[in-house]
Amino acid sequence: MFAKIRNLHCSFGGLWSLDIPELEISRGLITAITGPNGCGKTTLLEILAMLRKPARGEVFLWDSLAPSSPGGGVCGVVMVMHPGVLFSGTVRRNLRLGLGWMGHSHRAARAVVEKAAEELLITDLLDRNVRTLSAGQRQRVNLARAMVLRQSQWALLLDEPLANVDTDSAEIIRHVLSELRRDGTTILMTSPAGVSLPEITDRTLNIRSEPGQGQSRCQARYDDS
Amino acid sequence: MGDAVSEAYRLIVSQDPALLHAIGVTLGCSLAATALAVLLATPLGILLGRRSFRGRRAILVIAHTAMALPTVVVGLFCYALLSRRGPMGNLGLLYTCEAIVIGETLLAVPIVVSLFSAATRQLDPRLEMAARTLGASRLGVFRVVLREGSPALLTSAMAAFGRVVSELGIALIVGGNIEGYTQTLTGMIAFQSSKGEFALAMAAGIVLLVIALGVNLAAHAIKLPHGGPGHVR
Repeated sequence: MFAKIRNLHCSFGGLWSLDIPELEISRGLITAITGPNGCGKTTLLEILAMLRKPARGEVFLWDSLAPSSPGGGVCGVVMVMHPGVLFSGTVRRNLRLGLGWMGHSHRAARAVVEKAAEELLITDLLDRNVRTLSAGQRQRVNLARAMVLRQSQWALLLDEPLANVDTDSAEIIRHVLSELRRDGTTILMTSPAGVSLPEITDRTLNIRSEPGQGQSRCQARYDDS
Repeated sequence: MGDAVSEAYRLIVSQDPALLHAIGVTLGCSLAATALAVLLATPLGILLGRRSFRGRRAILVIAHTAMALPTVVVGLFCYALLSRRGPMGNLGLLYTCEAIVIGETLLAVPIVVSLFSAATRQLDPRLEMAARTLGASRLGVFRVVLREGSPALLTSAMAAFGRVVSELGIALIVGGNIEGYTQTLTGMIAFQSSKGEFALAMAAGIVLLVIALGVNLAAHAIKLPHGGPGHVR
């Protein structure tokens, strides 16, 4: 099991809340999270990436209670945001940063960076400044930056990975995600309502907005349940 | 006027010892005060720019108000601290360059805090999250924000340097404007012009302008390769 959630409640100023009484997310599969805008798809990813603390509830990752300290990289969970956040400098610097934080040596990092760049066809972009990249290239760099941190037990959380991405980049990303799944990576990705990627998705988790007493409550259910 | 300008030029070219000393004091004190202010103000600027907490607004109001502090008021405050009967009187710093550095640092800190916090507020709000998900520690996250905000930090430092290099109140009150010891270029202008020695005063004024221009050119040369503020998308 990648993640198990119990009695999760997350709210924003009393106007909106995400309630998940119980949810299990299998490891090694591609799970798509769908739902209307503002229903809590990104919030759920942030909670699973340990970037946001829920008001209450328990989150288990890899069968043990998620640590309270922020940041997911060390626990084998990496999130790619939408729109992607790139740090200033070159593509290579962006790809190396996480490896440095995870304690990889400069030499080891070089090989890992080049492998990820090859997979996402961005080798020729490695020494380019990120300012000069197109939206599709930026998204590929974001994905490569997360992929350099892959380990034996690893989950990739993607917020709308194909939004505003050109067709070629979308095809490359789709292919890379299928390859990652084949290697056993757990992938969770959000997509807006009605937009899903059936060809690479194993399960679809639907977050529904249920207007309640003065606030919108969102609940998550698998489509096949 | 023409005579004074040509005499000022002659004094600069002939490297007048008093002028050279004043240049050294001005540059040394201003650069030290700016560096100290950047060191002290950077963490506070990031805290105010990137976090929301109770009291943040009050600190910002104080910092913004302190930007408009008259230099003589800062000088007076430092005098009260450093004079023999003051709380720091036993250090014997009054009428030394160190006293000028302390006063100018107090003048520069609010400038760096205010400008840098406003600039870091404009950076992508998810910058820290992006670093944390890649495994950055607290220090790593701090360094990311610092790097993304570095062009703005440089601009803040330039503004602070511009303020301290041209101040007079602190240099007069806690420096004492002692020729050949604590006299700065602005102190020299005040002292020499009151004596009617316009040439030396004008020479000091020209050098002050050249310093301001040189520092700005150097800052731009450093800043250009990064291509402006570190906004990320």
